[in-house]
Amino acid sequence: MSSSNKNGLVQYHFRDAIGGFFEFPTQNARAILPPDLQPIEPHHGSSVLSVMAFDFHDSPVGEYGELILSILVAPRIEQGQPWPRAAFYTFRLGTTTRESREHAIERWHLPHYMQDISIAWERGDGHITIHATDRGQPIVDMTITEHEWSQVEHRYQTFMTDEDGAYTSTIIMAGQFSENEEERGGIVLHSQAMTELLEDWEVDVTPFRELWMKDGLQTFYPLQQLASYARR
Amino acid sequence: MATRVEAQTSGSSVSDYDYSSFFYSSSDDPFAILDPYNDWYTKAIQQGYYLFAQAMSTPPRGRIDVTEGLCHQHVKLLNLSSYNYLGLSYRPEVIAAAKAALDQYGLGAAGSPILSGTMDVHVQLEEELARFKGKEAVLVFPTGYSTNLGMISGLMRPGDWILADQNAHASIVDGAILSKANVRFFKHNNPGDLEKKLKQTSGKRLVAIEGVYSMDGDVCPLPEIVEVCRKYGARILLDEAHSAFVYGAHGRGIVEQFGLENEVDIHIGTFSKALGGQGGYVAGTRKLYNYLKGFARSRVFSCALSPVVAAGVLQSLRIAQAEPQLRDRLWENVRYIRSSLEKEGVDVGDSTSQIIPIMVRNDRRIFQLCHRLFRAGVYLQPVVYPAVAKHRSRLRVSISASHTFEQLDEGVAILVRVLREEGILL
Repeated sequence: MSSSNKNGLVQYHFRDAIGGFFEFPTQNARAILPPDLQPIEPHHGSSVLSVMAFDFHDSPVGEYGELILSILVAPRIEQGQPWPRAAFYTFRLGTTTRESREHAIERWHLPHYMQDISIAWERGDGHITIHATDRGQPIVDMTITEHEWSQVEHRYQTFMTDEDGAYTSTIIMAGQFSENEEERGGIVLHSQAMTELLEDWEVDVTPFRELWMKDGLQTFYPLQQLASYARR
Repeated sequence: MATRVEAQTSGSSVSDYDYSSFFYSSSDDPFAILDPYNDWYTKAIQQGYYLFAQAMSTPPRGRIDVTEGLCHQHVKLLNLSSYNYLGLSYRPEVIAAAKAALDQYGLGAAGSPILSGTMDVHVQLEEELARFKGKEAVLVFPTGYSTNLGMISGLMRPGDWILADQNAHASIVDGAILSKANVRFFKHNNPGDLEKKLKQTSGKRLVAIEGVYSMDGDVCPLPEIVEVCRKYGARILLDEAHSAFVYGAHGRGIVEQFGLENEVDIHIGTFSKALGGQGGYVAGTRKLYNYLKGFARSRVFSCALSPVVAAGVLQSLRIAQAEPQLRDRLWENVRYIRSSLEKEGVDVGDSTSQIIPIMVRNDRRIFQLCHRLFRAGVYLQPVVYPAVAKHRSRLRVSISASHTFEQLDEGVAILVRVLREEGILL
């Protein structure tokens, strides 16, 4: 099923993808973001940390799990193109296999935690919890709750940077989707190498928005190198 | 146009986007963002996602006439949205004073207040307001927004620190940004978090807070904040836009209510809320007044407040002092509607003031709710991002002394019915 077709689209199939949006101080967001990316501020002085986890069952690099730490940023509107629903700057990403990590670094220039992590998924009644660990050491525990489900196809934008430059890619997420702002989920960020940047960040422990997609397909569009985040 | 927008949103709803979605375009042309934004804006209006700026053709009384934005129909509504807390904007004496000023001075000030724009009515307003506030001097600004902008950017400098409440008004935030000082936000109404942030800073520090927060209607814990600021030697700016002329035995604001009139360094207020006019002021020492006259650029480089408005505001100020029963009536109304809403189980947040938020916490539903209220005869505005956090959308009820109990009963009955039908109230 997994493929990279002639248009350069790369597809990843997943059982579950969950995400939580957490408020944290903008001063911390700006310390991470490239200077010309604008964080989304739900409050004055408060930006959004996105924590996402994927349970991929089929991809160009097989089955694997992924934990992604990003900051929500203003999207880059392309003239004549569909608008992204949201945009992310990913600053740390952990995967459960070496193959998936090497693939994402080479193909997508994503900044990785260089150890294999483990992600345990607890699927409960109306909620789902992940426990991410590195050799038994806890990294993140996060619970996301469900709401109404509908079939969707959402367009997102991701920005990344490494020593060679700045990049963007469009991601299409299709599947059964639930989103709520009921503030019923939660997160525990443990003191650990992957989360060391977050230690003094005063991250809210309750997500103001919870996202959950089931039986979905993530499609990456070809990477574009950018002269500047805000220009062509 | 609709087809084009469907393609642009690609499976997402128009409500998935807001102003923050249209910050950057990928082009070198600054105008390239206009087409995408206008596509969204047009669609948002067509779908009823945008309800703002519907034209009113009557004074902001309890009952008003409004031109509905989509079909341009004239409708009569119960008004629960206007500030005008003491009902002064349409008082005959205020209108007469404004008309007399129009005859005496003409329409505008025709100059900057530091050049030719200051007229004797401006001086009179500043002097009477200073006496009312018990301060050495008052400086009048053309708008409330320009007051905070000019005050903060006029006094604070790069390297200084501004610590503002997280729910502070945009004018405080923008003034802080313009000053190029370091800016930190402390958790809303949380003196403990303020102290934590003060400990992390040194040098010149200004703490900016509000008396009553405009979107939540809650009052700041002034005694605790004053204590923390004194401990760390920080100056206090208190914006009483929504509490001046409303709180305190004489209407001097929450500083009077708490007995802390001499503990606050900079007193900000506006004329557009309780006094029903327009403009803003800074009250403080004569030295502060003299300095701001030179350094508050939002005032120096604006035309002075219209003398017509200044005369109307001056008359409103006199009525607010002479008729304390207006405040009594306002608080009677506030107690009455709060009690009615609470009996019905409506979530009014932490408000204790004349601003009563009705929490909806869902951007997608709030516009639908407002449409239903509009059709049911109530004028109530949705409050969404960026006025409040994205996930904290709400309706904002503003109570006036001029509302009758009958109007408040009618408003509560419609509100409760629609909230129940929408499943927001069980």
